[in-house]
Formats: sequence, C-alpha cells, structure tokens
Amino acid sequence: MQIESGRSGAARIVRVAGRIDSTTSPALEQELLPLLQPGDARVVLDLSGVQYVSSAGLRLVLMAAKRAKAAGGALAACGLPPSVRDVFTISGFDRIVPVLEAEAEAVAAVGG
Amino acid sequence: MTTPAASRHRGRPLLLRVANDPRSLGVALDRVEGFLRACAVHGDDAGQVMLLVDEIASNLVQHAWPGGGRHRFALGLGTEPEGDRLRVTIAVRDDGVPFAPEDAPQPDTGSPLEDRETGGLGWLLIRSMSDRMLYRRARGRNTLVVTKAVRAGSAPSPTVSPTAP
Repeated sequence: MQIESGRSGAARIVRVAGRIDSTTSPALEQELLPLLQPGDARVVLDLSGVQYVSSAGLRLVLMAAKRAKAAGGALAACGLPPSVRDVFTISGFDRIVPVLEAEAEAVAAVGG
Repeated sequence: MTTPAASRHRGRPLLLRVANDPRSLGVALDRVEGFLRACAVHGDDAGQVMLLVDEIASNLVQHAWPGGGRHRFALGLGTEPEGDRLRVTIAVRDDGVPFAPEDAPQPDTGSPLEDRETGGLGWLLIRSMSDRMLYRRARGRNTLVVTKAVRAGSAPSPTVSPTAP
C-alpha cells in the first residue's frame, strides 16, 4: 500500500494505492487519523489506485468519517474502481460517506 | 487464454500454512496475489478474491483462538476452467473454536454516520461477493470453502508492492 497526502484549498487529499485490508489498514490509520484536527478536518480519500477495500478498511473509513464530523469537518471519497464502489454499496457506506467521481467534486463535498 | 504463467499453475493449487498474526497474513496475501496473477485472473476480479481471503483469514486471526497463543491454519486456493471463466476455490481449515457463519452479527447498513457500527460487515461481504459457501465442523476442525467465478484475462490492475513489515 502506498499513501500520499497533499492539499487542495481547505481540504486534505489522501491518495491511497494498493490494498486496504486487515494487514494494511493500521498503517493507513496512522497516516489518516492525525490529519483530522478540530478546525482542519476536511479530508478527501482518493481511492483510484486501490485494488480492494475489505471490512477492515471500511472500519477505518467509518472511524475517520466520525472523527471528521466530530471535529467540524467532513470526509468524502473519490475515484473508486468499480469493485470498490460495489463494496461501498453493499455495506451501505455510500449513504454515510459522499462518493464522487472526480477529486474536485469530492473537495467541494467536504467544503474545501 | 493460455499464457506460460497460466499453464505453469493450471491445476496446481496454492497451499499455505498461515499463523494467526497480521504479518503472516500479509505475506499470505502477497502469495495469493502472485498465484492469481499467474493463473491469469482478471485484475479487478483478483481484488475481489483477495478481499474474500482477507475477510475469511482475518476472521480466524481475530476470533478462532480466543485464548491467544500461536496457532496456524491451512489456506488453499485453486482455479479451474468453467466455460469462458475460471472458478476460484478458497478453502481454510483450522482447529479454533467452532463458529457458524449464520451466527455472525446482523450488519448495520442503514444507520446514520453517528450510530453506524461495523460488526458483521465481513460476513456480509463474503456472502455478497462469493457464489457458494460451505462450512463444516468435523473432528475438532472448522473447514470453510468458498467459491467464486471470475473472468480470465490480464486487465491492468494497480501495481502493488509488498507491504513493509
């Protein structure tokens, strides 16, 4: 798994590539959660390079989305490959996390 | 589609012994990824098979041996042609506590963000993304066999480097 982070306006962009599963989500958790600070918790997860997201990854997305909201921000996801989108749909995550095609749309969705 | 790599793996399953720790599982998933590539499983579908393996195996790592200690379980993968597709079979056998997939907690897929819980999501994904699931408890061992039909081919998939320990 590779993780890159950057900024677009008021939003943090976190680009993840590879697999997000029970073996890799702890490393992503260490990168992602410290970005969610009160007053600076608008995060876009760019998942366009992700091979799959298992339930361990969903757990982390949920934790991050809850923290972002509690910190006055928001979390959105973009660029989901079809099979990752399926996982978001099956698990109902597409109803709690905005899922957009393009990064710019996701930045707008978190108020960046 | 036949490639030299596919021929090499045709009919020969991948058999691994995996310890109940995340690092061992990470190494196993790297091996599974290589096996699926060598069997010429379509990149997107290979990701779904790996998801199934992670759900099944991480469930064992977390729950099969509540008393702790170091344990191992057997993980096997095989592919066979099924029309113009491939059928992938994933099998695990362990000597952990008995479990029944139908006893998994009902997943919450509808609550608002603040109230959402993730229990049972793994089993929901296994049921949704596989074609068949068979569970058997015999002679003190659990056996779970899951099958999934996948596309053959070699569509581009993200390049994945082995995870650093």
